[in-house]
Amino acid sequence: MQKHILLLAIALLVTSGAAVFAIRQIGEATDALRLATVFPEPAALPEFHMVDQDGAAFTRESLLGHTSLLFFGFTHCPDICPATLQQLAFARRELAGRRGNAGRLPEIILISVDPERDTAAILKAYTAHFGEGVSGVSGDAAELQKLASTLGIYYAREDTAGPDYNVSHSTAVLLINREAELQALFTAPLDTEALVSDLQTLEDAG
Amino acid sequence: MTRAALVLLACALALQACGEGDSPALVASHARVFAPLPGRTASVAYLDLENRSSRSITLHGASSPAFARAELHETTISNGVASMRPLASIVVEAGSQMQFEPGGKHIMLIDPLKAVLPGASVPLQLHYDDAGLLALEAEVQTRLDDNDN
Repeated sequence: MQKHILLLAIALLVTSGAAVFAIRQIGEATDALRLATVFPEPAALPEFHMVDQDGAAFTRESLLGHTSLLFFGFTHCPDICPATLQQLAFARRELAGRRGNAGRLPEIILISVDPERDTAAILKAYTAHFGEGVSGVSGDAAELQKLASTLGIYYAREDTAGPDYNVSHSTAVLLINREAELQALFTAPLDTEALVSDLQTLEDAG
Repeated sequence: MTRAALVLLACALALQACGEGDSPALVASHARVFAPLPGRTASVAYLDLENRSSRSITLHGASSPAFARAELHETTISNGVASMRPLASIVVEAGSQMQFEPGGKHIMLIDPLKAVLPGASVPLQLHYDDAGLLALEAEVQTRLDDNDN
């Protein structure tokens, strides 16, 4: 009995020590961040069903096991969307060039806020021009709304007739952790150097 | 008016014109245009502008022989939400500099008329005031290039 109590006490001590260490690591990491806003409690994503650029189902489960950077935009956007994707892809290449990051790179995912025009095929051809690790997701308007609203993302199609319309949208880049939880966000304007630094810091603390 | 006064007036006017014409009032630098992305007919150009004159200059359009249309546009980000609108004109104040850059003012280029190839350059014209024309060459970049943001 006394031996069991002793073992339990040792287990509790080790566990609490590890927890304190982890909290301190995250605390130190947060202090070192330059751009990211980290959520004290990562928020679980809802269940949703969209389609990736290969026509396969894209769900919450698709985000498990790796980190992801989500950006809500559309392929007809000439300015802020390609500029943001270019920065994210550049950041990913920078991280890839650093030792120890193999297998720990974020997937960059453009979630289209213009599902009428952005088909899977269009997204696939479009994202290919930003380099490795960039892909697109589209899908049902109701599913998009469900995912976007959970993540605090706003978008609205401008009220014009004809095929050439713009879509206003949030510029936030969302960092999703390996457990498919919203861990942090980055707001515009993105400073590429700060983004790389923060992503490295968060990856090392995670 | 006496003949002498007329001569003096002519000289004064000539000096003023010479003063303005010696160096260009509007200067562009760092002009770059992105090759249109697959499936998209619109592209974008950015540049730095400097008004070296003592009066404000009003841009009211753009053009390029490489595109069917060119328009002045601006992205605005308010409360973290980006939206874009065309601009009928842009005033560049006397002695000021203005950046056309991602997330801000830019030139939207629509419907390429010829191949826009990385490493090449594309002629662009900015139209200003009554008959002002600033001709420049924009370097074609791709989204794989290291960005300068």
